[in-house]
Amino acid sequence: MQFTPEHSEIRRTLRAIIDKDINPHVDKWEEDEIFPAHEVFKKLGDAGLLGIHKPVEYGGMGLDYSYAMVMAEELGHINCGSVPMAIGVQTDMATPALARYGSDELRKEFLAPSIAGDYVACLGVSEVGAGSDVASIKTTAKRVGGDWVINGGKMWTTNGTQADWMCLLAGTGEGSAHKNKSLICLPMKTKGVQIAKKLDKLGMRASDTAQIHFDDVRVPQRYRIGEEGMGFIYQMQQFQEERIWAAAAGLMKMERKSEVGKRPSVSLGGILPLATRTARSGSVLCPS
Amino acid sequence: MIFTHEHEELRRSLRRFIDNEINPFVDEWEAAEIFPAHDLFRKLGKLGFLGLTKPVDYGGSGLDWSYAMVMAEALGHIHCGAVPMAIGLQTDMATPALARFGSDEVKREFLAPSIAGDYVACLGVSEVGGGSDVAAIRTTARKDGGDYVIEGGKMWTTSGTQADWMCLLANTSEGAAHRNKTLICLPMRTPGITVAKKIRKIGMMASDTAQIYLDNVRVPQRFRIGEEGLGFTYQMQQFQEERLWAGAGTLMGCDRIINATIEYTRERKVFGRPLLDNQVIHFRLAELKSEVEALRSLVYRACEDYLAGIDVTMLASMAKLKAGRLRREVSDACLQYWGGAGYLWDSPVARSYRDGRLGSIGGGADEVMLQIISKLMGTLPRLGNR
Repeated sequence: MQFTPEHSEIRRTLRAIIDKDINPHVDKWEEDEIFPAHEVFKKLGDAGLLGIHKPVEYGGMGLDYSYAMVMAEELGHINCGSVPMAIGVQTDMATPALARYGSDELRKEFLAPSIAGDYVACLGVSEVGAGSDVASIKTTAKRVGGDWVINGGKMWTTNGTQADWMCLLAGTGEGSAHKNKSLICLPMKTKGVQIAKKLDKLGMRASDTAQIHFDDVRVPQRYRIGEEGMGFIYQMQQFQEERIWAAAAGLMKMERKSEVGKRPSVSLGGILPLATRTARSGSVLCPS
Repeated sequence: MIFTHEHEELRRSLRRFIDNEINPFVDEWEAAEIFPAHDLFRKLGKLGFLGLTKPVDYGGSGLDWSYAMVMAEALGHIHCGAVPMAIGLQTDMATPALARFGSDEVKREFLAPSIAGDYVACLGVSEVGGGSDVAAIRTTARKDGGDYVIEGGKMWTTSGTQADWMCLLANTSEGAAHRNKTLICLPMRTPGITVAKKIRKIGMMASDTAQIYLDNVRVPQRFRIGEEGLGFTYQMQQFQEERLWAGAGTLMGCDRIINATIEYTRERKVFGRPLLDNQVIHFRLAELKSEVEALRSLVYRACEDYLAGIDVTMLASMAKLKAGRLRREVSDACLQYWGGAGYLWDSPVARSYRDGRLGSIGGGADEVMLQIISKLMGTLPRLGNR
């Protein structure tokens, strides 16, 4: 892969923000079991980092995906998994379909502020009864007058307690499970949206993961992303970015393992320093 | 292995005890990051569970080690790893050397109340700079008049904030690292002992693990266990029980997680059918169950040899090694099939995943087991690394 000076510039810019505005606070955010998404996203948005491969008309940089990949990789420099994950949700999981298929109006309303870092986005696909099996989701959006009326609920929603809007997948018709769903932009302050609980997890402690209920939630039909019935397809496409992102974001984190041991606050972490220390003390790990 | 009516009775009564006195409180203890060791041990002691293999003269039942093994296995029925570990520490890690080599006086003072459940014991071997590498410990006990004066510190001490006494390993002279150490019974309320901190861990949440400083701590020399200079050897013997215990203690916990996963995946419908009906899942669970039974056979065989007076260093090390690895494999594999539900902090499989990780680290890391096995296989290179 050939990287340009622009790729390196993105790495440098992001790294500076991580060193200054993220890593010094990670331990506290992990302890608090939440991080200030609006504050962090605003800083990233101001630097243009939330819209690297998004259209210029909505505040993005209009670059190709290699720049997004470089960013995902560099996010591994963050000393936890939660914050990179939340950023990835914003840039590569909840917004690609909107950027690709949303109307101009919708993109002005939801995409532009997400790129600017004013809005925090979340993705509403998984439910209590359906995660990996996307086709079997039960949440529905029914047409009533000019609105959608949404009922059901979502589960495992990253950024769920802080998000301003959700890229929601809901059943909007009868018929085959792959052709009856639509993606809808759902403002999280809409009446009937209830954050049922913040989930206590094994890891990703600084990430707020929520279970969310929808009880007669009403949004205008113009909040639909692209065509009705195409939601499953759009989401499958959107998963491509999510998966490439996940692979790229995993890389530096694994390499970082060899560095954390140098920080005195985690003196027992890190493989190389441990081996060095043991060697210094006159023995070696696993002499055989 | 032939189990008698008494073995079965032990299993049954222990299981009843766990159902009534332990499991209903485990979630609360995990959240509190400590469990009431004195309370629980007194109840266990009253029923005779803390002295199965200990001499009758000090309140024990004088049974052979097969009963301890049955108990270790049955403790896997507890819904966490922390409480069984603390019990195992009391019965099979901190007290075997005392029971075997202690003077009558020191056994009356420390062993009898530990069997009765009045005393909580801890084991002081690992230090900041020496864990699996026991010979490298730095704590010293220097003779002064009729006393030992102890300097140093211990790390990763299970039950460390609640214990009444510690089975302490300290250097009592210069010279060869394997012949200069002594085991000493150290009352934890002695002046100079500071519980520096309770350590926050990824698992074994209900277990209080402490770092302990020993600064000019004075105990009478009669608190020594057995002979001076034999501490390392005694500890290595004591590790046999610890490792056999670890092997046996893993079995039922693995069974429990596999069974819970069968139940969960049978109920959970994905892509139109129970998760369990996916061959990748029921085959994986079949494979894991086979591994558990293979480990069970190894543990039982090691126990039989141990009872027959055969040196079980190799089999006990193998049992410990496989137990540590298998618990991790079972927990990780099963967690996968629980999906997001398995990632929740309080799910049984997440707890097993966290707790089980210690199995390959504590009580001699996997790599130390491999070293011992290699040595006994005659394949360990002689390196001048000391």
